[in-house]
Order: sequence, then structure tokens, then C-alpha cells
Amino acid sequence: MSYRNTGTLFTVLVFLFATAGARAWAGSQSKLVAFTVDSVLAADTNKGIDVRIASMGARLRKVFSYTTYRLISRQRRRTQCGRMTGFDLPGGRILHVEPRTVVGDTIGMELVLFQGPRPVMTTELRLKRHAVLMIGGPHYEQGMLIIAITVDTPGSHDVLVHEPRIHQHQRLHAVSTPGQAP
Amino acid sequence: MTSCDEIGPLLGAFEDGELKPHVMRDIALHVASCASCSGVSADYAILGHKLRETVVEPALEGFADQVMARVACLQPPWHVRLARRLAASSAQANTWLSMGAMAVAMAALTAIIVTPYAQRFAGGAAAVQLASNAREPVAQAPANTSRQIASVSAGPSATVPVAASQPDVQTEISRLEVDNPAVALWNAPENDTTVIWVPDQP
Repeated sequence: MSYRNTGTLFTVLVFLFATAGARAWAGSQSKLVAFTVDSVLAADTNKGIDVRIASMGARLRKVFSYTTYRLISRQRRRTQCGRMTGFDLPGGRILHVEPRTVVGDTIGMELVLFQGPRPVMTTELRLKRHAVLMIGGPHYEQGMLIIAITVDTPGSHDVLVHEPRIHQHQRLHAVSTPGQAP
Repeated sequence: MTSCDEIGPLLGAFEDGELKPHVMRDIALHVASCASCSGVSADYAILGHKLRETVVEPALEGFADQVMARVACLQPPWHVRLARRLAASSAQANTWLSMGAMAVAMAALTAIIVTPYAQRFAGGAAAVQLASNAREPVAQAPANTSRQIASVSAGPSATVPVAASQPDVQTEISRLEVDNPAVALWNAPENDTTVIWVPDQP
């Protein structure tokens, strides 16, 4: 093979690889990710579970031991990988969410929880479509605020399942036991 | 140039056709009208014919090949040799460079394609490993600092483990930064739920 032919072949291969890489990257970047953020007030006022979050009730009861769960707000946002979206939460809190990657049914993201202008928690995690991330702890009104975050990729063949399977709850670790938390 | 004295010395060259065109023309005009010079010219022509008949022409078959063979045996000057060597090595280097660049491009493409799956595989392995220590602390935030990073001590990825019978990891936390050192982390794998408990600062 002559030098000229080798150079031409190399150029063609590089072009093909670059095109394939760019398409793969663009495909990952253009994936839509849908977030649902439920702000739930948890308290011990014996009022049961809000019917609007009945599907989440068993999950909440398994994880926490409050007697009242009331939905304060439910927000849904769609965004693309690499684009941040924000949620206004009760008590002047703001949640910023930026999906980073979508691999299979796992979505990598960064979450930043603000109390006013001050970031109080920053985390990077990967969450499966069937999983729920709950951020709790802040006091709100007469109870605690629990932020339930679920994520989905619109257009995927499966749907998000909220109904949990009931088994024995496993607590892994608590550095310090908060008031009503198990 | 019309006198026989001037024309005479040139007649030999005239017969051989070695003169300039205008000189050939003047001599031809003179020879046509001068019997003496015409005779001398004829003598030159006869002499030339005779000479050509006597001389044996050497055989030229293979002459060019022999010359080229001898030229090939001659060593070219050093600068010519250097230039040839540089040209050859440059072409070879370019070929190797092209092949190397091609290999790098293929490796990069392979890495781009394989990396997400490799990360998933690595994450799954970490989860299985951590699941055996599910009762051990996952995150530890010292109380004497204002801003802490909670991470798994077993590796760079703070994987929240699930039960050993369920090796599929639902949530992997790779970074957790909180203002409050009293952060807690729960996982309820049967409910596909992970809890980050960040109480208000006192």
C-alpha cells in the first residue's frame, strides 16, 4: 500500500470514527430526562397519608415512622443531559438537578439543595428509573420536609413503578439519629 | 564572400552540412556558377563517401544497458545519498505515524463505547462487595468540621449497597457534600428507596 493510499484510508477512518463518536455523544446529550419532585410534610399528627401520594404511602411507612404524610407540592420537569433544571421547594429551598448520563435505565445526575442562596447539600449519584431518592431532615411547619425524587427517561419502553414491594426494611447506617427518623 | 579563395576552405564543411544556413546558401550559389569550386566540392563528396565506406561502425546492441549498469555501480555523492535516505525514512515514518494514529483513534473510540458499560460492571462489583458489609457504616462525617464529604471507605464510589440477595444496585452515590456533619444515609432496597437525611443546622 502506497503512502498516499495509507493517508487516504487513515483520513477516511478518522472521519468515520469522529462521526460515530459525535453521534454517540450527541445521542447521549440529547436524551430527555423527566424528574418528579414531591415535597411531603411528615409529622406526627395522626392524619394518615395524603391520597395524592397513596402510591408512595407504603414506601414512606417502611422508611419512616411518622403518622402523617401530606403532599405539599408536586413538580415535574423535563430536561436534557447536561442542562440543569430547578425546583422551588417549601421553606425557601431550591433544588437544582442536572442529569449527566443515561446508561440503560440508570441516570447519572448532580443534585444541589439550596437553603436560600446557600448550598446545604451537593451530591452526585446514579439513580435507576425504578428507584426513589428521598432527601429529608429540614424542619417545616410542624414536621419534617421530605423531598422524594424520581426520574424517568421519556420514550423508554418501561414505565416508572412507584408501588413498592413490601419486605422487611433494612437500615444500613445512620451517623446520627435524627428526631423521628428510624 | 564570392571569391574562390574565401569559398575554398569552407567547401569541406559545406559538403558535410556543418555551416550556418546563410553561409550554406552563399556557397551553394557560388559552387553552381564556379566550375573549379564545384569540382573541389565534388572531390570532398567522394572523399566523404569513401571514408564512410571504410569506417566500420561499432555494434550498439546493449550499449545503453551497459552504460546504465556502469552508472549504477558508481557511488552517488553524499548529499544525493542523504537526500534519498531521508526521503525513504520520511515515507516510512509517515506510514508508521498513520498506523499509530489509526490505532489511537480506534482505541479512543473503543474506550468511548466501552467505558459506560465498564463503569456499570465496576459499580455492580462494588455493590456486591459492599453488600456483604451492609451493616457497616456507609458514610462517616466527623462532627468537628463545618463542611464534610461523606464517602464510602471501601472505594472511590460511594455506592449505597442493596441486600446481598439483590445484587442490582438501585442508587450509587459518588459524592456527597453537606454543611451539616449530622448527615445520615439509609437504603431500603426492598422499596428501591435511598434516603439522605440532612437535618437543619442547630
